[in-house]
Amino acid sequence: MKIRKADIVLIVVCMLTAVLVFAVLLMHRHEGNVVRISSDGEVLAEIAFEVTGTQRYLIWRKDGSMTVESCGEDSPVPEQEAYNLLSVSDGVVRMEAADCRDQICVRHRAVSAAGESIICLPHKLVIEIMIGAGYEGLADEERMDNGITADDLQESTDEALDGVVE
Amino acid sequence: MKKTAEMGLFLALALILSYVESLLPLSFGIPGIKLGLPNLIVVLLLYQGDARQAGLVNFLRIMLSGFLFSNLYGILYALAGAVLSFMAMLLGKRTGWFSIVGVSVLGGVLHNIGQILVAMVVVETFYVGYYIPFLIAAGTVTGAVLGIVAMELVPYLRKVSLERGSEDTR
Repeated sequence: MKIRKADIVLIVVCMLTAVLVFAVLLMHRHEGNVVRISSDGEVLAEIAFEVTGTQRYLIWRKDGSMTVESCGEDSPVPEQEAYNLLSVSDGVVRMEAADCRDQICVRHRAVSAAGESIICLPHKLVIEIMIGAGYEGLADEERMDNGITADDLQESTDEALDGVVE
Repeated sequence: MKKTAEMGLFLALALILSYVESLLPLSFGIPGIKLGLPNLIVVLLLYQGDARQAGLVNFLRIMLSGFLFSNLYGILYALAGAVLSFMAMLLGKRTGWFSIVGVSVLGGVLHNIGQILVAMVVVETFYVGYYIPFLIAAGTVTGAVLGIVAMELVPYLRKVSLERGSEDTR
């Protein structure tokens, strides 16, 4: 048995598709300013962040329901419960720590562009970067793409932040 | 009887490769990407035996390795990836255009696509577009490498089968 021409064509086509999709995604890249945290399909919080400064959020199951808590440098990591520690630093979001079994979310590269996400499958947690109100340029267009209006976002951000203990 | 023994052997090999893969701390930071070592056995069986044998061994190795090294969710992801990739390999082989390498590439790419589709359903997000180029590229590379290994192995397997066949007639 030998490698056939069709095999080479297939490999080249696959690689070209990958490069092409990557290029298209790169061209449509916009820095985000809202991070949405959802668990099992339910939005827990939508937090607007600035391009400077550091914030950390601890996501864990508190009294039976998933909660997002703002925390400082010395984060109170729960010993028994499953947790994820998210850090937002200078407009870049990354999963700082988690006690999930595969640690894929922790090793995931930091995200900052709208549409990028960090997924923690064992904890069914999704961190998404979005573009929210107050963003210049393509904000409206992007919001329409996401199906979210400025009012929706403001409302949900307010609600989400009610639960956030400063 | 001989067929059963052969399939048991292939299943054991696939499980060993699953174990080896679970030991490798290989993560690209992207859910769904795997080296796909056990797929080597499935591709080989597709060429060595028939589609039914390959499908059965594929299904059994996922169930067994799932219970041994992972959990029910792991089995769900693996099954989705495996079903898509197996269909693609079967179709790819039927067309007669590709050698074992092309078939293995199809399997690798579709496996990764299947896993991300389940991830999309489970976490209910559609923002997985960013992963797609990496998934396709990784599937192509791992598929091609495993396909070349499989291609090198096929002649040896044929020889073993023939020798055993002559023993049977004696």
